[in-house]
Amino acid sequence: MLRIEKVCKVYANGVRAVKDLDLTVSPGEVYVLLGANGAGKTTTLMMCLGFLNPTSGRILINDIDVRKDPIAAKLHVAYVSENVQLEPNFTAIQNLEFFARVGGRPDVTRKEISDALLRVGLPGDTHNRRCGGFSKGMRQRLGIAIAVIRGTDLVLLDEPTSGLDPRGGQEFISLLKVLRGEGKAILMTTHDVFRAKELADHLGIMVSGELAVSRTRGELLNEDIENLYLEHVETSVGGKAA
Amino acid sequence: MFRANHVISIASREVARSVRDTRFLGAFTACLILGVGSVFVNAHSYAQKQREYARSTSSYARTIADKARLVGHFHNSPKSVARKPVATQFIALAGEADPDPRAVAKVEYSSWFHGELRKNPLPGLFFPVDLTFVLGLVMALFAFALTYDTLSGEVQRDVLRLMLAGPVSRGSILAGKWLGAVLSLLIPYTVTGAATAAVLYDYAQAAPISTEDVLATAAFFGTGLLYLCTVTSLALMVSVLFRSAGAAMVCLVLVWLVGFVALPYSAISVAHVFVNPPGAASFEHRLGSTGYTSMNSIAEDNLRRAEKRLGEPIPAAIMDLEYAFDEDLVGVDPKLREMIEAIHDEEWRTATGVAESMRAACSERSSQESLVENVAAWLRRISPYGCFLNASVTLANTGFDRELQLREMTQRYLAECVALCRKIGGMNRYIDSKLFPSPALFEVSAATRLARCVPDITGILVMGLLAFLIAYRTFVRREIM
Amino acid sequence: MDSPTPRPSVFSQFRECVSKEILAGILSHRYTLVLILTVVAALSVTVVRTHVYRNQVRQYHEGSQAWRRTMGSVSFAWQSTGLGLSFEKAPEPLAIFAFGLENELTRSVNFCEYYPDRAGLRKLGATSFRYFSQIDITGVIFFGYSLLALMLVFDAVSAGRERGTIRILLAGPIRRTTVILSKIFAGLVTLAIPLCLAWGLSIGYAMAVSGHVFTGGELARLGCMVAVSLVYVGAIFALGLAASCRANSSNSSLMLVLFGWLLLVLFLPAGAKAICDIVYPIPSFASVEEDTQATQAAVFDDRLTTQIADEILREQPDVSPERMQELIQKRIADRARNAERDRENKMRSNVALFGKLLRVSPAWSYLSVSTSLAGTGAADYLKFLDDVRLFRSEFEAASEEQKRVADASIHHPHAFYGEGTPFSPDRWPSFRYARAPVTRLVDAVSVDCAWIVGAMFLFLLIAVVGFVRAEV
Repeated sequence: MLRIEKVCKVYANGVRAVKDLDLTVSPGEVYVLLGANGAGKTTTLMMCLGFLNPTSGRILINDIDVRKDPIAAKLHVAYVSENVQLEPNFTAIQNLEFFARVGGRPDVTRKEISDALLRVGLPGDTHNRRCGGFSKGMRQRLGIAIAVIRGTDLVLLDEPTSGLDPRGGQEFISLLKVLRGEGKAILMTTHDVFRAKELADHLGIMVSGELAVSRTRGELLNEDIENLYLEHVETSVGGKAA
Repeated sequence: MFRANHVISIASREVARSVRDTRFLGAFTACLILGVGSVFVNAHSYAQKQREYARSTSSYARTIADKARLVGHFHNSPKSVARKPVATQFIALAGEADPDPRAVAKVEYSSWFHGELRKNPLPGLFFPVDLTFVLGLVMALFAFALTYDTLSGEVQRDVLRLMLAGPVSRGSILAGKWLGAVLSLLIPYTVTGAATAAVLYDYAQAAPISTEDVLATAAFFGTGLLYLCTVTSLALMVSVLFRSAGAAMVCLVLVWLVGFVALPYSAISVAHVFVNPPGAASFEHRLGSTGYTSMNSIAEDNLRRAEKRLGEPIPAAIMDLEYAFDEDLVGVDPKLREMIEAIHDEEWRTATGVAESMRAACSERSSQESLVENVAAWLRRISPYGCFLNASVTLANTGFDRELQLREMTQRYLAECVALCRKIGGMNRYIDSKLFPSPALFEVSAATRLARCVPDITGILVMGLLAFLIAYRTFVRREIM
Repeated sequence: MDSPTPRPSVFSQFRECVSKEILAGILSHRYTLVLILTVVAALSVTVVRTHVYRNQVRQYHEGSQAWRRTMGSVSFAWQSTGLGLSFEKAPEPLAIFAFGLENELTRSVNFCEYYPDRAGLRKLGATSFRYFSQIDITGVIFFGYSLLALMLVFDAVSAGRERGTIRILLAGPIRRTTVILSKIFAGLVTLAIPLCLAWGLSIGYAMAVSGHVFTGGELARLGCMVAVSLVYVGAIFALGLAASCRANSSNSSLMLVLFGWLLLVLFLPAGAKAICDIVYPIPSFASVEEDTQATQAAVFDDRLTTQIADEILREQPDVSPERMQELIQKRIADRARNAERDRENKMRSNVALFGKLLRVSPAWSYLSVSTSLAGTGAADYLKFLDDVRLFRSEFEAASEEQKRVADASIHHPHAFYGEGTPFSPDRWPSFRYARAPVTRLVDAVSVDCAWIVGAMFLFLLIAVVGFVRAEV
């Protein structure tokens, strides 16, 4: 479970990246964070991972304050970046083995790794291939496989489907649904409004560092997400008023 | 294949891009500081050597005037051939690195011990810092650092794809990138050149530079420009051949280490192994024993030969008279005088013989060493820097062959002195110092120097063209993914 | 919620990261290239050096035999100086690995008037090709391997940062210090492998082919040379890592690294020399010669002669006239050497300061330590000159003695040439030169070693702090 409580981030040059952010992601829930470029989505993720320190407020992962005990907090988090780049000279299995071992599973077996790879849709013949030659889709799956093998409660994803073809994107979303079904809490940032609509249990739209819109799935049924998104994004960019 | 306007626009874009890069600033600063610094230090050292040269020639002339009783103590007095310092040593120190401005054959009674600390040996452990070093090695390394990712690496390949999407031929792109890189490098190069000229002008009073030297310097900078173009072609070629920028840089560093540093500088060692001249130690002993055994036989044999010539015995007591301090033979018994002159004659014959045989032995060894140097020079031509080094040493007129010529000339000079003394006659006459032959100190015209550089300049050109050709063919045929 | 997951042990994480880093490093093409090149370069250079050593030993034996043959026919000591004296200092076998100033040390030093100055004959001219025609494995490591190592390390952290690999790693429950320490350890191990291979093969070849049996002491010195080269490479690695951690991109890291290398390896000696020449300017040969000749010309100055004669009388009131003449000559000759001696002292100070200034660079400290261990360093050279001086004075004293003995039995000075007492070889003083003993060596070497180690820790500190504090 992820709780972001009144978090603000002001950079050294005075730029306010995040303002009073309140957000909760419960187990078995997918929270999709939409927003224009520079809205503060990635900054939020970086704060959850302890790469940046919030100027005020706190972030709790399974009730552990990220700032106070980052190691304990990160035991429960897996991260999938926008462009997953692992060690190119290692095979998929070797890469996964390494991340599992340093990520809190020193006793992981090769079979478990293979299973995880199969689960994310990577066929058996790719397991012993060097990652240097993987396509973008394969690399994103590898990223998710790390989350799977580590068995963490929380998964953070930063625009995971950007650059994926429609089929690849669809498969990826199905994977996330499965993980949701297993009780994981998932926070995902994206531009992809369609996928958001399909996947989100909770939807947030960030505009200039603030959570301008927050809707549950039920509330979303009666709304047009696209218009909602464009409305708020256009306002923030200084375009036509809603 | 190439369209001029495309080439120019791509080149100007490359220049603009380079100039804004932090790497450029680093390269510019390093080359400027090091280049100007080296010229400054070398010009200063040249000015000093010039002063010493003037001083030593005048002091030598004075010594000769003083010790005009040279003949009797010929082997004891200094015979110095002052080596005129070379003005263009800031280009390539080479043979001028030795701080002694005077010559090779300096034989003195007063300083028998040649093993003292004549110069700091430690600087011999590293490269002398002259313009060849700065522009040839340091600038080449920075040129590689600036251009290694022109056509490799993620960013540039994206840009490349964009360019290729338009109506631009691959040849134009390559030519444009090459020209852009050369023009970017030309900026620090020209500034260093201008700064060099300024420093030399400043020193012109204390350290005079002749017209020939100025022309030679201009030729050096021209050769440097050609060299720069070749280096850029090489960097471009490697950039084309490698997909990843990191691998390209490593390859270029390897090329620099092996091709630009190791090969040229080890050429002399390799040549030595091939030519295998006999060892210096045994040669020295041979030479020494020639001198020694000959001189050893002076007293006895000269006496005997003089006796034979005169046809009558000469009492040993005669020798006393010869070495008495006040040796004006006027008033001495004519018979005695005849005997003394006969002995002197023989002594001079021997001395001449000794000088000649030493000259022959030195000449023989010099020719062997000359062969080693020639082989080394050819081995160096494998590398573009080796060619550049050869060319700059020739243009600066500080090469090893000069050293050998100097040695040869000194031995000849010794023989001439001996002959002159003999001609003037008698060991106890005073000799006007003006009568001494003055050693012809070589001046080599700029045109001759340039002519000697032709194989090296051709080498640089050929390598540059070859590298560009390989780059072109690879680039044109490559599938850009 | 599940029961709390046990924290991963820091040691197991460290171990995992180290093995991953080592494996990733070794699997790259760059590394293979560097490994092959280093081993080939080191081995080929050692082959050449061993061959040269064998040649030198042969020439040394030839030379000393030729000398003894000729000296056998010398009738007088002072005539022998007309021929040239050879010293009993054989070529140094450890110079195969660190040539240093061996050229200045091996050759015989000659007291001779009859042949051209050694400056031209000794080496292949005073050309700029002298040192780098004498490259050895120390030179390969000092110059080549250091640059290659930097090429392997310069993007150790910056590449990971640019590609996002580090972010993925740090997203897990692992401390930054663990990551950077594992990189350091792995890097040091990875860089040590080619070095050890190169040394092993080179030492093996030299031992097999040089024809010299290495003593225990020499092997110990070799061991120290290997150890110091490992530390030096460690310092270089630390420099590369520091640049990688502090720079914003791989490109700037590369420039930093190149600059640092050029500064430490190439620019510093030039600067040091300039400084030394300003602090201890060396009087030129011409001025020394002038002063010497002026003093010698004073022989004709009655005032000076009288002055010296008075001095001698005061010291030895009952001296004989012939002895007085001798002593006067000697003292004048001595004074004439003052200018030379003064120059030499200034030169020594210059050399000493130069050696100290060079220490600023860990690269040159390494070269200094290596050459000192091999017995071919600056200190050894200065000691050699001292020993030569001592030998010369002993030889001159012995030959003076001989002359006196001969004089006593001869009425006519020119009978020297015909007959005389031979100055037999068993009466010649022997030249005593030995490599500095290990205890003195340790003192000399420890400062340099400490500096290299210090430099390494300094750079490592910069790297660690830079990495831990950076925002990824």
